[in-house]
Amino acid sequence: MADIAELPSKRARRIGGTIAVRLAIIVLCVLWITPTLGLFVSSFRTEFAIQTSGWWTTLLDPFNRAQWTLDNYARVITGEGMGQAFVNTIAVTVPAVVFPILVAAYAAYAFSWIEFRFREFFFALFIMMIVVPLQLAFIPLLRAWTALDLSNSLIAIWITHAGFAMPIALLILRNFIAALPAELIEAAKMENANHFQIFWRVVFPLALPAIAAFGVFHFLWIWNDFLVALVFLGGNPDVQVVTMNLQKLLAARGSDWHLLAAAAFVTMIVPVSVFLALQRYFVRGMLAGAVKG
Amino acid sequence: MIKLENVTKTFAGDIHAVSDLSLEIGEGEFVAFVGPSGCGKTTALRMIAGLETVTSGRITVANRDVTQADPGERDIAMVFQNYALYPHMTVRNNLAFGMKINRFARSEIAQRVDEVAKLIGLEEYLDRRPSQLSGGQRQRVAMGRALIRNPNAFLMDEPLSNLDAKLRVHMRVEVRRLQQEVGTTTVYVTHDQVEAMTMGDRIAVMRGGVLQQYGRPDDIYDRPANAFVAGFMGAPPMNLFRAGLTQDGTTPVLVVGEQTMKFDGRLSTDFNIANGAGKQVIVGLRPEDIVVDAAAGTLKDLRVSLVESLGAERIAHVGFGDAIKFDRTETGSNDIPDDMMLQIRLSRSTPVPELGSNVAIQFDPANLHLFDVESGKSLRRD
Repeated sequence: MADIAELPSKRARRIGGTIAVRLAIIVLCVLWITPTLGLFVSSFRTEFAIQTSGWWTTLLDPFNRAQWTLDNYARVITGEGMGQAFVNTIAVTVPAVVFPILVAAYAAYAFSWIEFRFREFFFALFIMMIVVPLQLAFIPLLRAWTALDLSNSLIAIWITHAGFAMPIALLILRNFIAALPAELIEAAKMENANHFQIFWRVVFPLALPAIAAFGVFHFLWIWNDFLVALVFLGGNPDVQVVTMNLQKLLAARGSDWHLLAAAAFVTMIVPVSVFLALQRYFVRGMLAGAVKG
Repeated sequence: MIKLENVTKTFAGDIHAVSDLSLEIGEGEFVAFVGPSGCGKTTALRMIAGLETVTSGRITVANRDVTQADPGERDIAMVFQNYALYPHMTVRNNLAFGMKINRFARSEIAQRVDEVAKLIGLEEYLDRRPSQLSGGQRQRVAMGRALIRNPNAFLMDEPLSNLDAKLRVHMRVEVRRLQQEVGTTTVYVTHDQVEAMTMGDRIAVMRGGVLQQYGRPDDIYDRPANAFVAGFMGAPPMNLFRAGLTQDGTTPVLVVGEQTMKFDGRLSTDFNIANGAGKQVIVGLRPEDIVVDAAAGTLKDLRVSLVESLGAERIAHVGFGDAIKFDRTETGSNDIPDDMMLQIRLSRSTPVPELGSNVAIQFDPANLHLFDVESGKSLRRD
């Protein structure tokens, strides 16, 4: 009905708007994809090729095998310590993602479904921590880890990351868990289920979308983190993460583009694949903080 | 089986959701809590379940004081309005959930699931998820989840209200059949008086947190304790209107407008109206107890304003017209509707009264109800 009644000028405006939106998307895509593609192509080119011609020239003659090489990756991963850094990053990231999610999910359940005194007050107190900039906590935390003889250890960075993530994780998960139908929890109570059983058998499976969303979000953040890693792991070369390794490489071999490109790609590969595989959760995760339910 | 003694629930200090509720439910009995929304029936049910704390009073289930007990300790199963099936579990796991939680043997669980699935007729659907079931099937799974544990009692909170009208009638019979088959004491909350009438062994009519009447469906229908119960039970509801009470010699007489009704002195034998002369009362007449007569009748000069056909019967709406004037400024019970319109149930064989015509009505004085105008209480002698 609206289509038939639509005025010509309105229709033109609508089409114009659509074109503008598409154009903007195309521009953004090109802006983002071009350097990424350049980096990707360069990471497989020889040092000589990079120094003599632009990466786009390879696209004109993609089947010329002489210009392609895997040496850059081999050198970066073994010689420059990127392989070890990659393993370290996984060792840092996985527990640093799982730990706060678990704690925040328990807390979100308690804040939603267990009655206790000052519940709203404590919840507000936790959520308020979102406004505290993490830089503010660096010095006291460093001193604390040193005092506990845990500085530059994995445990220290797990707990640090978990702590920084906790308020936002709690906010997102509580919004979701509190919006679950009360009857489901009551039905489980009627069946004599205790809080742990209700959490693991009913709430956790139902909150998985929110948990996955936050997990993906937080995973990417930690993987790409440089600052926290530098501050809390910087003193120990054995536990360097990829971002630190990349920075070191940049300082030491700033002109060796072939190595930097390969190292950059090693750094990017996990976040890019995680994002592509789980992007629907990613979008939902960002919305979950803003839109209830 | 279930006993409530002076049970009271207060919210936020001064809102009385349930006031001083006392009633006893026998072993195997099916009791319907009925009343308009906000009458406290669901709160009462949730207190029996343990999902709501009791402000004061005592709840006993199977001779055990459970007033302070956790829901899980009461051995009571509940069926929720929206079924509350676990969406991530299959029908089988939904049914087995309670037994798994309570660590029954795997073989015993499997056996009970099969038995219950048969009872509710969902053997074929055990591996489906709730989202793949129709409303009626979900309802049955919810019933099955209650049945599987052989609990002390079932509590049902408007379990049929999410179904369409036709399915609701069907499930009404189904729920009652299942309940009778297993013989488990049941408390059933509904706002639908038809459901309460058809399903309940006994009915508890509630209003504003206060129990109005507790009794068998026929008793509640035939001898409503007050004007509210009279107006709530039955569809169309009982006709209620004001009348004056005077004395003709020693015989009490009802005065409606200019007309008087004597009933051969039956008023004083049937009703407690000894000191009522000069006062007003509320008159109640069931739509089916009134006979329309074109000429002679107990009340005359009523005007037919609408006749609805329901197929099997007709409902005539008859107004008092200008002939009978009421004083609307009168205070008292607010259970009397503003429009003085009588609804009269006519069988198909009765000739349809002409619209706009003047008619008279008749009724058997045995079917007359009188209520106190202030308290709304029935004036009938017991």
